[in-house]
Amino acid sequence: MKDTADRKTLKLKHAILKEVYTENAEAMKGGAWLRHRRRPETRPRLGERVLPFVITLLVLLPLASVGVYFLYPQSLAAIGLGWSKKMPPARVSVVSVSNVDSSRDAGPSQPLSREEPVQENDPFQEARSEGELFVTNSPENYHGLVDPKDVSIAALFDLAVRTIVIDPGHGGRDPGAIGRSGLTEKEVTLDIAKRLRDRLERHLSYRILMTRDDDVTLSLKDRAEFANERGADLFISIHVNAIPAKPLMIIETFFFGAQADQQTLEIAEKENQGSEYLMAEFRGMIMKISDKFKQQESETLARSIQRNLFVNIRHQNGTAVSRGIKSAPFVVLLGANMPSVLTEVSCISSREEEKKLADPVYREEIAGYLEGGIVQYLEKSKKETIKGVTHHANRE
Amino acid sequence: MLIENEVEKEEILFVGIDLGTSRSAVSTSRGNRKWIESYVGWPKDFVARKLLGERVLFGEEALAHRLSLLLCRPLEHGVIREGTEKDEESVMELIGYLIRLAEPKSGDRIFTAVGVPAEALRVNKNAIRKAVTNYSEKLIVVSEPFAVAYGLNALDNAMVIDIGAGTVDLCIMHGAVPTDEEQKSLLTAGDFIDQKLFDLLSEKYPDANFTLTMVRRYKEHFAFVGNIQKKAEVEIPVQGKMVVHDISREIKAACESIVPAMAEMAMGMIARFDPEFQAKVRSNIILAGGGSQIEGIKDYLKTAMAELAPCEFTCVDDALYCGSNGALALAQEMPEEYWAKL
Repeated sequence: MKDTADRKTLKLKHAILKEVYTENAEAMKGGAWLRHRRRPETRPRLGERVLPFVITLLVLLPLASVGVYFLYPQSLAAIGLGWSKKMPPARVSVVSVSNVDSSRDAGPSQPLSREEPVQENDPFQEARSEGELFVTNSPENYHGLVDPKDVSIAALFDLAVRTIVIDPGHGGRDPGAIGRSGLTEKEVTLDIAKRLRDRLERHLSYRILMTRDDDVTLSLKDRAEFANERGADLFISIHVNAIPAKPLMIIETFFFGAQADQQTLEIAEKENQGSEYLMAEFRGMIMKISDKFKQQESETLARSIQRNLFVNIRHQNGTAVSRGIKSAPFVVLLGANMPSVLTEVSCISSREEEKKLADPVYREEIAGYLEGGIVQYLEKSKKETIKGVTHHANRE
Repeated sequence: MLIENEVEKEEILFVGIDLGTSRSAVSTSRGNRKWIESYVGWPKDFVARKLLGERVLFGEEALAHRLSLLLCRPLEHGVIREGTEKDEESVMELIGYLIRLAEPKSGDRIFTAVGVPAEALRVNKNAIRKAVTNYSEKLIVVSEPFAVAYGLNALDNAMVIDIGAGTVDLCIMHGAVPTDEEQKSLLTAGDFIDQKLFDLLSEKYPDANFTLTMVRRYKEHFAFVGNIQKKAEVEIPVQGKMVVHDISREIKAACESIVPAMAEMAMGMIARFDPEFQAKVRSNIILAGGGSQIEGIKDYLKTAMAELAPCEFTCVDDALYCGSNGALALAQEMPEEYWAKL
């Protein structure tokens, strides 16, 4: 009996050793350790090698250089900072912001409005009417910036994510929005952020950091610099909406961009309070508007987060409305060097929603939806392969 | 012919290495067993080099002279950090040192099996191969939990939870080399406990003066989960004066902080395993690595996982060497024809 067991173990061991041998022999074939640098697992960190790429493209594509030359004045004008004409204001002004659709002829800029006329064959119309996702002000206006073909830079260079910074909005002296019962935005965002951190830490390979894990005051500059100094690959700022005038439960996610409609600008102006950036620093920041890579990835991440949040919350709260993803000039998104999004995960001014937000189970669920969105984005980034040139619009 | 074979075997030194985040161990076919702290340090400047008299220092010695060194823990977070030449170099130095600790004789043919954190196997397998190839004629690289399982003969219907410093590696054995799905890692491991303990102590004793290295020692001395059985009291300087602090609650909270994720991951993996064999796996869960020495961890996990179904845990007897012993067993039992082709 013992002999049979021993024989079985030996047979098992032999099979296992054969597998170990096969795996190791395969690893040795095909250039072994020279190859590992190009393997997906050892991809360069997101954001680390983008600059040489952009420089190369600028050299190879004179048109792109021309695009940059023409773009900056427009970009600056986009947020009311005609560089050669006037000094930059310390804070983005709602009044001065205008649309910068480069496809339009030069002329008086038109402010963007949420009540834009419905266009025929509008591909988003159906989704809009159903309260589903839609994109406004996507950075299509920057076509000439890096590459007119809209190359997905992250996919092209097989860039990976290692460090994710979670930024719980507000904190310390700044409570953010306050619900009727006294629940503050800063408490909710911190709790959800901690739960999200714990969840993401269970995934492999990612270093998860938080701009604050306590009730402390942090300027927007502190938050962005925290992420920059730690070489973050993604930056996710968590906020809670408040629309006291209307009984609405609106979920929306913003990614960095110069364009914005009036409503978004109002939110941005509110969220940009206490940025602590100086005028002198703002020039350097504004150059980031040209960061095509950051915009692409921010938009893709925003879309993934928004979809997960909305689809799941809608199941629980039939009145939830998605305002989709939008580009917006949030200072905290501008200051961060890496792809960054700001998500409004709930609406504290809604009485019903405030009651739910006070429940840790609901906050855990929201953290789970955010986790789902982030993980989907990361998975998609990993799987994405390039067949010739990947068109950014087709990445979904 | 038999004699010839024996002579040939004499010339081969089989080496099993457990390349860990915190500690690395080596076991050899001649019965040598050594371990070191996984630290590599290079003198910061020529003054330090002259003072220390070494090009590179390892383990405790490196830690002791850390102020004069560029100190590196190459497998921090369970992987070699990407793009950092120094990290790759430090792995190479560390492996070279471990093989020197194996005391090979001149003319020995060295056949090495290296167990690495599961995540490093996925991410850095080739970098590790490159590091070892300078010192060893033949080489196989496997994951640490797999090496442990092999060494313990837990080859079928067993789960190994290797609680290391950088990662907790979980692996289900079912008579084959575990696939990615059967092998998962968590970053909430020993280093996570250290940081948590550091944060808790900083909060409770803001005037006390301590470092992460001191906190790590406290953990290694007192680590426990569950009910407080004995007080954990340590002397920590406060404004230069040594003061006794009771850190029992903080030790407990920090050590318990890694359990929920571990239990959840283990439950998830078992739940996805073939339902016919789940009961067998549940009754054969092996805790290995430094974290298996946390007092009460076996019972605490048992209670945490009772939600799924009754589970049986055992802790390895020799936590320090079970990985290197397993790797050595792999090296020794690997058929010669396989070695020849590697």
